[in-house]
Amino acid sequence: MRDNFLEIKGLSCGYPGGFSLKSLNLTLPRGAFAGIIGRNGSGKSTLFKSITGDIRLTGGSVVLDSAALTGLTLKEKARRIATVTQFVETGPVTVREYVLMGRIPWLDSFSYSYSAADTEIAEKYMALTGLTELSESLVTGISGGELQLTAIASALTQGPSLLLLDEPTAHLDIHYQAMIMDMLYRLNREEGLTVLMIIHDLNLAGGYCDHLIMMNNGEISVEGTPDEVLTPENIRSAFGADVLIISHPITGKPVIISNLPGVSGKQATNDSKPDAE
Amino acid sequence: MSSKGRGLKYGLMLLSSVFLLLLSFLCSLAIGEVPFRLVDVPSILSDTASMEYGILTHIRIPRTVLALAIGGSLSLCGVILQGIYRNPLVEPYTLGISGGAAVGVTLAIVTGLAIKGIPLSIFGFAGALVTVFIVYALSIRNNRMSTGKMVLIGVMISFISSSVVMLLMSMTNAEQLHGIIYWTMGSLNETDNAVVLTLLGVSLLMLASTLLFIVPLNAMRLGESKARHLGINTNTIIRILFVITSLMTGSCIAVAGIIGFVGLIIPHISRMLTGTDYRVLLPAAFLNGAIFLIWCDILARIVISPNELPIGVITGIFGGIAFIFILSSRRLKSRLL
Amino acid sequence: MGTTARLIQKAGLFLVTAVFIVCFSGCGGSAGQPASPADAGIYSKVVSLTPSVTRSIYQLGAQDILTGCSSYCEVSELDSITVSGSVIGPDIEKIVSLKPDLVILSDFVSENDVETLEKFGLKVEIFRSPGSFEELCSEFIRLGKMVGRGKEAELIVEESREEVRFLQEKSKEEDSKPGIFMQIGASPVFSVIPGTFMDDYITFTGAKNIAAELTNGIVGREYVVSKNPDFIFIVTMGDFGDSEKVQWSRFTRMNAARENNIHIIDARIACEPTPGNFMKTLRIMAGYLENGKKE
Repeated sequence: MRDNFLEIKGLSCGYPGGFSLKSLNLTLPRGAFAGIIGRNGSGKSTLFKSITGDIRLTGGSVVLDSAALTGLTLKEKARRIATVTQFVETGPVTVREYVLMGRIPWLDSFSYSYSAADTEIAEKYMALTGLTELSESLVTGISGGELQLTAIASALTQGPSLLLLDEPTAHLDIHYQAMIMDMLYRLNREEGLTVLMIIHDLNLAGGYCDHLIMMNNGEISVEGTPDEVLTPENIRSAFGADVLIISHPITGKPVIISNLPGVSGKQATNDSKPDAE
Repeated sequence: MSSKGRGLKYGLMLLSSVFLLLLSFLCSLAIGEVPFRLVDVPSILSDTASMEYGILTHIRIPRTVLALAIGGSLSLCGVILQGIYRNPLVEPYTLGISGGAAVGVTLAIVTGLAIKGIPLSIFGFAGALVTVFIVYALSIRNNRMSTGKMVLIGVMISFISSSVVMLLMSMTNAEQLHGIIYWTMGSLNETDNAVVLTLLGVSLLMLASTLLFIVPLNAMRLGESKARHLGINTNTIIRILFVITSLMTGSCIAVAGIIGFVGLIIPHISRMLTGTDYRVLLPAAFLNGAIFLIWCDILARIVISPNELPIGVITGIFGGIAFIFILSSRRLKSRLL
Repeated sequence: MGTTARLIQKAGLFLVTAVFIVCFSGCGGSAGQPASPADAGIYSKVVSLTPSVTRSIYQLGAQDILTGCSSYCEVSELDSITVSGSVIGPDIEKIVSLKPDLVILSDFVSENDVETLEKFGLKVEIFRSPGSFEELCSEFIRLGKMVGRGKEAELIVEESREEVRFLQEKSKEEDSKPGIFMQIGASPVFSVIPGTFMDDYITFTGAKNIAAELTNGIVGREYVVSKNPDFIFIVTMGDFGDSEKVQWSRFTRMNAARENNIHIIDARIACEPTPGNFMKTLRIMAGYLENGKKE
């Protein structure tokens, strides 16, 4: 029985005079590990920002655990949803301070110091992300991967029920990619954290997510398990690329192999419109 | 260092700043054309008929209190604005407030309105308010304040204002010219004790009210986007802080003219000493600004004694030197923002 | 043509060119200039951009030679005198169009403007702000000679000198010299200092200028209070006089405040260096000092 933990109905939003989404519907159960995939410009970021609240809705609703997001204050939203953006802005703070700020939504209106409990939570997630040794370093002085981990630790410190991530591994090396995805996977399984992330690496998407949402031209074109979504036809229609899909020898999950030029007989085209099928 | 240890360290720092402020205050009372000994001050205060009493109560105490209030306020405004705009070159005057005030005062002097019993400070304040209103109105788009836009508009207004002031100056006579220029260089010579006390009260009130914004300001160090994700309503907060700092700056300008650099330098120096956590930074900026301006005022009085330098000259020179020194030290520069 | 003819032609050309050059350079400064400064009374069309000089011309009864004045000069409408600029900024085109034979400027006018006027062939005379009463007198006589009223000028000056001598004699009888602070500005507080004709107001009345050792007039209030002046004279055109009087009165221990010897003097009279106004101001101040001492 699917409980509709995250329910998006008829969502419309967009940039005035520019790209917009019209009447999207999406539901996720509690504890889902969902990925949004699609080409650049397919609407992934727009959908993402409409859930985080960075873009205003022009129609429809987003309901999380029976609470409509538009009716909540920013603080109430921050207690439920934590966001990790693709590019993390740095500031003149240490890693520890950055992570601790995740507790801000839980501070009383006029208190300004963190309780012992707050510090404990922050330290727990710093340990989880392996940042304990860096805790006194300024975030301006750490590597990209460490910065991403800091942002994730801070988001986890918020104690959210829904974690939103925008391409968390996009510009990181394999070490951090694997580390972050593994950690999120464990948190999802062990603590029941619902995860929704934009992900461009289809293999990571297929390997970790239990639910995939494929976007194309501002619409959700396909939804389902990785096996259902990651088919050569779907990928051709959404990405305009011909690929081979095999089964992972250990996990059995779909693994995408891109073609070498000239192998399949069908040439990859350079135009922006994918083939209609 | 544990957070308790850190808390202790900063607590001690603030305490020593308070002590330094007290010391500076007393020095300012003692130094001048007629030198007092600090130990004599209490006896002078009781001898209400003496000339020294007159000097102390009508000249030195008002000046020192004013230096405290204005130095503290401008520095506080500077540290808040630098936090909101995340730009190390922002100071209370970057938003064009001083330009607007200067236009207001120059207009008043040139058109002769100033003579009709209305003090110049009213025109200065009015000019500042008009500028604030213009910047505010032009910076809102889709109900959001664009901080980048505000800085640009402010800088533009500053340029336009200085041109207008120069235009007006070219149309005046020598006596008016002197008055305009002297006003723009800043002076702590306000002798109406009611005004002095009011400004002190307002600046302390402002300090107290900004303490309510410590958490949002701390969060905004990571950018507006992150702050919003943490539940901080940056729109509202930026607007409120903008209005508070503008009114405060306008009041300071109205009373003492344009005293530059305090709002630019002292925040940076404070950051170097106490870090960027606003729990310590806000009170530290206020205290350091007050101490700085008191000493600038003392210098203004004694450097070419018995003549007096306008205080804007002293803050400009010392502020400028300090700024260059900070920028050339790499270790200090890393703590800038 | 023969060689001689060619030589004559060359010489002729040379001569014409030389005359041309001489004439051209001569146009720069010498056109319209009188033969020597001793030739007084030749000037019949004068532009004066210095209010004190304009007033002096009126005092000498020579206003019919005035064709132009500054926006600040006080002139009679009946005399149809054209406003040709401000005290520091002459309206060059207007001045030139008036075709004056003398232009009188203050020393505020920039050198560029003076040069430009001279390039038009106009005679320019600068009248500086006098540093003393004596200089004021000699400048008055100089002006008198220029407008053909030399004798009248000398008479007026001699009368003034008489009165000054009388005052100085009277003050010698006093044994103490009261301290005077003469304020000519409010923001900042600006004092009269030695080396200006206004300082003579103080010395001629037998008093001492408390700012006697200063070279710059910007003083702090503390300085004034510490010198404990017996009289304070606030010279103003009406804008800061009353508020300054109130400020000084608060220092109840200061002699001037205690004895109510803080007085306002009209700047229009005190600051204009003409013999008439100088004597008026001097008399006013002497009167205040007389009354003040009667306590």
